[in-house]
Amino acid sequence: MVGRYHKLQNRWILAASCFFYAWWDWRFLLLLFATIGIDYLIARAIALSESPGRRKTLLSLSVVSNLVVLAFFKYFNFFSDSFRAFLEFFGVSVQSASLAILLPIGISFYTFQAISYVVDVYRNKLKPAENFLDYAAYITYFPQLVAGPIERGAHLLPQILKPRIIRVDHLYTGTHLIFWGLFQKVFVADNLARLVDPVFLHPSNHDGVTVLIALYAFAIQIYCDFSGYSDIARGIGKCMGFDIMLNFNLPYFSTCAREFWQRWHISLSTWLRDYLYIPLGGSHGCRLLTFRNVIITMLLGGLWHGAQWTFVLWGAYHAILLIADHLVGAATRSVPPLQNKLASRTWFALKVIIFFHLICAGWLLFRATSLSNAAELAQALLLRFHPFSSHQWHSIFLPWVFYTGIFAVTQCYQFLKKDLMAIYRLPRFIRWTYYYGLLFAMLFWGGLSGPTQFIYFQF
Amino acid sequence: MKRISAIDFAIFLGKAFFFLLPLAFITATYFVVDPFKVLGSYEDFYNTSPPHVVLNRGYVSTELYLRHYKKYQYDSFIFGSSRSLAYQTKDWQPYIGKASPFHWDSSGESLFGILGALKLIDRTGGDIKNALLIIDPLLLKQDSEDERRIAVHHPQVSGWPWLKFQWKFFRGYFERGFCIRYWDLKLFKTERPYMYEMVFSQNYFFSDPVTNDYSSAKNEEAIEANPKKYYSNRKRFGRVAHTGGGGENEAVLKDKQVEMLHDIRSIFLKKKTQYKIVISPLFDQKKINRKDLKILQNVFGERTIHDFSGSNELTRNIRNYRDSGHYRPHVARHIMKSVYEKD
Repeated sequence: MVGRYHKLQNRWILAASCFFYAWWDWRFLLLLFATIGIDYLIARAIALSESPGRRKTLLSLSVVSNLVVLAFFKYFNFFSDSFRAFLEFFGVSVQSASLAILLPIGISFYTFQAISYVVDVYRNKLKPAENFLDYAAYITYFPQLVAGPIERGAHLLPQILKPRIIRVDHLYTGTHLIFWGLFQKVFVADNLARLVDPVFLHPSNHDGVTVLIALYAFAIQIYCDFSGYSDIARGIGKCMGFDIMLNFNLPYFSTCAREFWQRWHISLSTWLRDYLYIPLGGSHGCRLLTFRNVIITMLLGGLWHGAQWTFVLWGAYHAILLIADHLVGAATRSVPPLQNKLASRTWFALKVIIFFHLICAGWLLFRATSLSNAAELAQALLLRFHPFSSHQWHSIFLPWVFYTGIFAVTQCYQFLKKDLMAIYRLPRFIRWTYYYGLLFAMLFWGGLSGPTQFIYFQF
Repeated sequence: MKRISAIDFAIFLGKAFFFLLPLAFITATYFVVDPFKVLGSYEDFYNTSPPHVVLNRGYVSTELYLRHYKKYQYDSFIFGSSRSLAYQTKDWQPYIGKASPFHWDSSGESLFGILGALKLIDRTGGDIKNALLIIDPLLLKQDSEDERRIAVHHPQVSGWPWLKFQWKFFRGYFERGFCIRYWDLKLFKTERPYMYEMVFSQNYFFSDPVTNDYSSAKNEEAIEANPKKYYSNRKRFGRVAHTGGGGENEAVLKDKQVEMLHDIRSIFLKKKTQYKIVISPLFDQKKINRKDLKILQNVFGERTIHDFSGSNELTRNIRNYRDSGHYRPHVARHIMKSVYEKD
């Protein structure tokens, strides 16, 4: 039955996705469809054309049109304000040209998805969709439309074109993912937000230890917020017979920057790798060129997250981590691995802890509302860090442990079992007890205290 | 693995249903116990067995009014936030003569709420012979509905859809472990520190089911029994400075609030109301902003505004307060005497 009506299903998915998007603001549906229409036509024109020059021109047209829309809605005020500040620095006074523009939800995600589609068609890796509505269903597919994962045409489009098969295990694993994603968002992320926000809002009122715990809490909050959304999207997809790509793979167990980016926001990091870093030359040139490519990629990756200098700095910080990783890796390549199991595990745990702190330092830039806010936070961390004389942090520490506990234990278990679905494979009694634990935690200490937006909706 | 069959799907739904049964049971308990007393109308909202949850005073006021306005023909009203609780209709009665007074208070009250209450009285054809408005900068500042569960107004006052109002309380049942605290106290009848924030079992107040006068007898008893101990409690008095000469509040009245003040006055004029407006003597000893005072005087007339804010004999004495947010009934009696004997 599922196969027979799959075309009808696709239309239904498109209609539902449009309704979902229009619920927020119907006017931006027009913008979304303008993007879809342009890319659909250009991709088909590229596929039909045999002239390399014409193909390249069409590709440029598509990329530029996508980036212009993104730049206008997301970055116009940022560039305008930065330019004004730059001129004012040299004593030139100009009037502000800021516009009151509403950022279309999910624009960064669907723009990148559309660019990857056209580029893949250009590279002959993907045949363009013949039917406009099928292509529109691919771009607008509602579970991942507003906050990813950024799906590639080569992965998702064939699933739309071919009849889908929903199996029993799809329903169960899908529901498991939805439930786990909800828990991460409703119980962990939303509760941690209540601890984190006051500290980041007024860092001068808090001592260094409190800021550090708030930073740890934010690291978990942003992970659960985003990974929770991705899990819900993947879970809904599974229940509908789709396989949406994995976006997070236990990133806080990384021991270096390179590994972190293989585990964190995988759909974005692989996008940046395939459509920016490698076209720039990747690591095929000399070391300096590789570093240049890393820096450009990470700066733009940072800027993708938001029109703010703190995000650019965050990107720069990660570029430094990646370069340092490269240098350390090259220097220690000849060092033999530890033979003793205990020593090897201890060294691994130590590397995880150290790298987690390096990541947290980056989150400080990411979460700060401005550069001065970041400076205040750093000041609190460095100059007011008195763990033994201050008791201010007690009020944040216990709630942090409470809201993070189940999540942390789950992640450790998943890591030790090397299986993200390890909980799903537990014996039925333990699994149901666990699910009830999540349900009651969400019910009594989470979620219903009011709608809280996903952090990544703003990107 | 094979494609899903209708039986597989039915089994899946059955499991989901079974899994969610406890949730359905907990949800049902909300409708059975009605912890916030908003699902129905009660003859006496406070005459119940513990746990005593902090009720939404605006809802209680509105419901009591709607329940009794025909029977008691209320025609005189005290309006204000919890700061107006110190005013008792029995103390007010001597100044208003033969009247049927009602105390219409609402936690975190605003001009929006007072105007809504006046409009409701008007809609129900009620008289407003006398009105006593107990205001302060906080009340004047709020220009729209305060959506906190304790402060949100009755739908008849706010114009909110009934379901939206109910949803707020239903959500509250599950918020921050409220349900656990509630049932822990209800079943085991033992007060534990973690309950006080929400399931108020210790400081139990009640209000008169006819006049809606609110009694804080327990506080008064505690003050009388051991004033030194009472006033050394930092939780009650440590939050706001009581240093004297607290300066002046920021100006809070904007166009929207001024418009509401005019609307309130229009209703008073329409109802031929004898009204007095008292600016409360607050613990922080700050004077109401001069601009705000001028606006109030311009709208209502100088003779009706009675300003007790700032550093004065009422505000300087800490014993005039039951906590840093509220003054005591004897202060309210003193104010009423001063206000009405002036005329």
